[in-house]
Amino acid sequence: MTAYLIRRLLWLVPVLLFVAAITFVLMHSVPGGPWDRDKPLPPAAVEQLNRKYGLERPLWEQFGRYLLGLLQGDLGVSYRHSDRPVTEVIGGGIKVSATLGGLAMLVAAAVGVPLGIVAALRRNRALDYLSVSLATLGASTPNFVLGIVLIVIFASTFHLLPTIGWGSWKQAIMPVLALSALPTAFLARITRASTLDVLQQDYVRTAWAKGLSVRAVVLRHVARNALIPVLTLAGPLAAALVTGSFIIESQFAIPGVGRAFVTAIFGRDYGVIMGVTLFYALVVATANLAVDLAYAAADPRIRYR
Amino acid sequence: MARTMMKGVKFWALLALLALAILGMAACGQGDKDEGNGVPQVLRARIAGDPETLDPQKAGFATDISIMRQLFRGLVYFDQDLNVVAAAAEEVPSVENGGISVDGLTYNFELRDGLEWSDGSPLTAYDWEYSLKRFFDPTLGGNQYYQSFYYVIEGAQEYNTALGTPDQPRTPTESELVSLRDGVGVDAVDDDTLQIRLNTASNTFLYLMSLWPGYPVKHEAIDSLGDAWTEAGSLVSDGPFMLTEWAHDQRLVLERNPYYWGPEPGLERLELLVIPDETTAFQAYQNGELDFTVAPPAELQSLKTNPEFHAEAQLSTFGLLFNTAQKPFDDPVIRKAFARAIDRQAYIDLVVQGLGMPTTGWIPPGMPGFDPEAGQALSFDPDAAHSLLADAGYPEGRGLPDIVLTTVSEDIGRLSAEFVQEQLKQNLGVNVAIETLDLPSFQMRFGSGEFQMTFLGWNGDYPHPENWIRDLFYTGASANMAGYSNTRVDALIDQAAAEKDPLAAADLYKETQRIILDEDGVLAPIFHGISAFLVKPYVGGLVFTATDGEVRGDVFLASPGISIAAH
Amino acid sequence: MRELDSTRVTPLPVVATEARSRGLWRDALRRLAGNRLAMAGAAFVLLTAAAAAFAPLIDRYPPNRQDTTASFEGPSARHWLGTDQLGRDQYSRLVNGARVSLSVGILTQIVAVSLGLAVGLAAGLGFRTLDNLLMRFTDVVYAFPDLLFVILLVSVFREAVAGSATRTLVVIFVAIGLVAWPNIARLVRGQILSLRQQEFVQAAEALGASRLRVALVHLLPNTLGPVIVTATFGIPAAIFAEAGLAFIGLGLPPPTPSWGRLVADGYDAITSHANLVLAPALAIAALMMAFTFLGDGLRDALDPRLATPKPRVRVLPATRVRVRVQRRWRKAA
Repeated sequence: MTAYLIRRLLWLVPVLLFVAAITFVLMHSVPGGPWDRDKPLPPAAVEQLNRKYGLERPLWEQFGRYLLGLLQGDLGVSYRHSDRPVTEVIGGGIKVSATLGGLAMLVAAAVGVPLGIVAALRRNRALDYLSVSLATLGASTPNFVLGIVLIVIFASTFHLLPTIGWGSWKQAIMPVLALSALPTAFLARITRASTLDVLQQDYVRTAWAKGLSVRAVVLRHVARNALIPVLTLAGPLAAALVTGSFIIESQFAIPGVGRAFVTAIFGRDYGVIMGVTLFYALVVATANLAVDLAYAAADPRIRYR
Repeated sequence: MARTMMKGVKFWALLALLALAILGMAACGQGDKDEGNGVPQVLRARIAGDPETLDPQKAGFATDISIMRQLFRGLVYFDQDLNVVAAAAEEVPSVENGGISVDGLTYNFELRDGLEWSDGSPLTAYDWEYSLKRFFDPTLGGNQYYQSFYYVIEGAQEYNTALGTPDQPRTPTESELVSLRDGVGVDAVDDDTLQIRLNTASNTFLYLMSLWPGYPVKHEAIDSLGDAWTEAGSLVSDGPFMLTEWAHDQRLVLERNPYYWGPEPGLERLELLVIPDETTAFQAYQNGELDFTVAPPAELQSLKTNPEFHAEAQLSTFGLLFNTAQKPFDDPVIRKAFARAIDRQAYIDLVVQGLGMPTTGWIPPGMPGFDPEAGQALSFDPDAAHSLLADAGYPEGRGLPDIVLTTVSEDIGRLSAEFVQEQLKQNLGVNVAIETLDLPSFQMRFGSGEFQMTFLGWNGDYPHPENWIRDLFYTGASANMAGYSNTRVDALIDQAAAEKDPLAAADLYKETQRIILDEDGVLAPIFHGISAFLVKPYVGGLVFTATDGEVRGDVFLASPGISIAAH
Repeated sequence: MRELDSTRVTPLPVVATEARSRGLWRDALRRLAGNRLAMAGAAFVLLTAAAAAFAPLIDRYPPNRQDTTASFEGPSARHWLGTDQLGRDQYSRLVNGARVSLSVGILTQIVAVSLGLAVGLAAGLGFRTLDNLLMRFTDVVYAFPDLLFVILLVSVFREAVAGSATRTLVVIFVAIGLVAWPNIARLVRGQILSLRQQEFVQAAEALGASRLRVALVHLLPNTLGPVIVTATFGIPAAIFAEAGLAFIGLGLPPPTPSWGRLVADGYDAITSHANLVLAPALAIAALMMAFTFLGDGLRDALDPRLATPKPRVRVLPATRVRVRVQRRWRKAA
């Protein structure tokens, strides 16, 4: 097991390297550069700026220098924020996005999983259809439409919640709701499907036959097995949420990292683009690893070579 | 057996609902802060993105300029009629008071007594000398767009271009750079006097000095902190406000500067909230989180009768620009045919929902050189458009090469493009394709002249026709992306620049406009902008001008007359 | 003891069922037909497809025709769903927009499924190095933030194809498909690896069939079920992605309507003209739900443990062979 863990961790390095390389090439292939702004700069100025940041060197050399800097924890500077270090520019954003995503995931799990289990237990009855429909409806609207509807209702019309900003729990309610609609529906559906699977197993039938209460059956036998596949997909889902939904962040004026990424693409702010992508890749890889480990812990039949 | 389970689940569900309900009720409990002893004089406004920089010699974006206008003051400034008035200087230099030499080449600015930075240290003419020379430093970085406006200053161009061009780079030594810097015609004669020497006499130099490159910066701050000097707490400025908080990508807070030489602003505090989405900003305004905001065009129909609605004519013109160096727009007849196919009134009705002044002229009303008859040869007339196209050899558009209208993907660019595309189809029978690009891609194409048609929106940097004509239409001018060149126009521009009599100069500019539009049809003006915004009724005293930046009313947000009533 | 390597196991049932020649699919179809929600979903999908196909016949105005006197009109007899800012009939734009939205949905999945099947199959063939290489490659692509990567990809090629709706569409299909294929590849690989451990495969290989042939003939068909289900869920996801792209300005060149574009256009007028954003949003929602129900139904239908097939095994190389295998869960304490 330890050997497996070490091997997986070691694999992270080449994977991240490739992610960095591909991102680097792609972002330099986007037409236009960081100096193509509101008003055209004289060519001498462009030349000078390129020299200052080393942008006139061949791509492979720039990439090499970037990697070297990376090893020392230096992610470069942001061109659009008067040379503030990238770590500073995205550091704050990471915390914000992680909180936003984490809360959304919590809501999705707290609502979606029980919903799925209940729907499975009441399969093909009214409650099943209702809960699936409700969950699917929430997930069927693009989240920015959901967001603006929430804003129009709870902010501009009834003045209950603030529209913008981040920091107080009131400011968190609407963005978290808008963001969690899709994951909730997703988790509900996966949980339902997997619970249905498990409910048909012999050992569950045995448990019913033994006369165990519903709660006992569910909590002791069904839930653990049903949740394994759910965990599998929940991992990447959480990773996606944590790294920030840029649409919700732009909409609710939340200073997160997803929004910073999109602004960076439109501004050709290479340092920020690389920084956010690498951060995301790390989160996904870690989430996958965590899920695999949890999988192994939950199901003792599984042994990793 | 399932029922017991259901009871359990139902219990938790009810609990959750109860919790949510409690949260909801708690949320409305919160009223507005501060009732009672005096209403806090705080104004909350929106900016669309975090400022890129607040360094006056480096900045160029509208947001940055709006903010710097609150933090800094130059030697001179504008009044509400956009005349130049004294600011940090005791009075506006003129020939009469000896501030300007008779030959117009030397300006002497006498500073007020007792000027101080926002940290209490004295502010002298040496600070201005440092700031202006720094502006022309070729290694400065920053936007580098406005430097050429100021090349009228002696030695400025030589210093600024010391590193040569990409084709012919030069590598001056340290001492060469120092001597070039010393050669710039800006000198502090003593603590209170700044002298600036020009290459030629200029009618517009005082306007230029009221703009942000003329704001002073404290060199100790820059020397010790580098680029980080603009952060809150270390940004030292000389204007009516100082920067007390800057939460990046979230908000900026400006508060009164106790060391400001001028009248105390009516506002104690200015909060600028970063809200990228315009619709969200509108909702935030409705919810009382903003005190004023831009009125979204899509909502204009219902807002026009709202007492909180205000409209202000802007010194701006928006039109369709043809690239005279690309087929088929190398032919003026075709350009004019296209221009005549556009129903400007319909554009006003649809795209800006009535908020705009349809026009065929380029220089806007309120500016010298404005001519209500300008561009008549380009007015809307589908029949004339058809016959012009036939005259050019393409009856009904047959035989025309593929034409693409290039624009930025933001809302007004896209809507305008869709409108123009449909107009050309209906009124001229020509199909053009639209390409929407993001800003850097667009700038790249625009800057290198790789486009056939695009939109040009121009806001005056300062209220003088030179800014409208010379920078765009002079052969080889930095913003002349249409590849336009007409020696008669060049000659007229030179003549107008040397002309001392403002009325005669205005006539000369009118003539250039006539050539550019009626004869050459380089661009098809569509409308002059009217800015529409909403102001809460408890905000009084806001002054709006035609050259406001991103934050409306920014030119005079420091006005003592602004007051916030109880709300 | 089951052994897993570091690849994720799919949550979908890993079972091969036997069938008489075409019996499996017929059984599945029958089960699907009995699922009312799924049938409703299928019906709506077909309805939308028909509307898209016959759009020029059922719209009431040319979708890009601007009526300069009719900006922002509400729903009326003349304009069933009202008009937008430029006076264009919303109903006509909605109906024509279905074309783009559906094509985005379906074509992205075609790209994703093709790539995913190819890679998953190759990885599952049993050659260790190839497997490793392909899976690491999948990891790399999988590590990218989905929508953000799509934005990056679209940005690279957009300027080159700007102005052409068709070519921009292709860029969007390919971009979205490129982020969607890793899931399918893993799915396929997982299925194939599990199936390869069954006796019938050993038998077929013992009889001299090459690994590739075994994979193509015997194993691939069994993976199609879950792949189809995944693709069905991927279609609405792709439509969402297109809406997101339109929202930030990376969508199709104007004036081509798509549901995403209509939502983005109507968004700004939500306070005074909510009909403009609600109509396309509801259309997207309805289509999403339809595909979801259909996908759920397909999954249920293709899950053979809900059926009762008769076991029969034939081991002939040229015939499709399926063997019934039951997973044994541990007994609860």
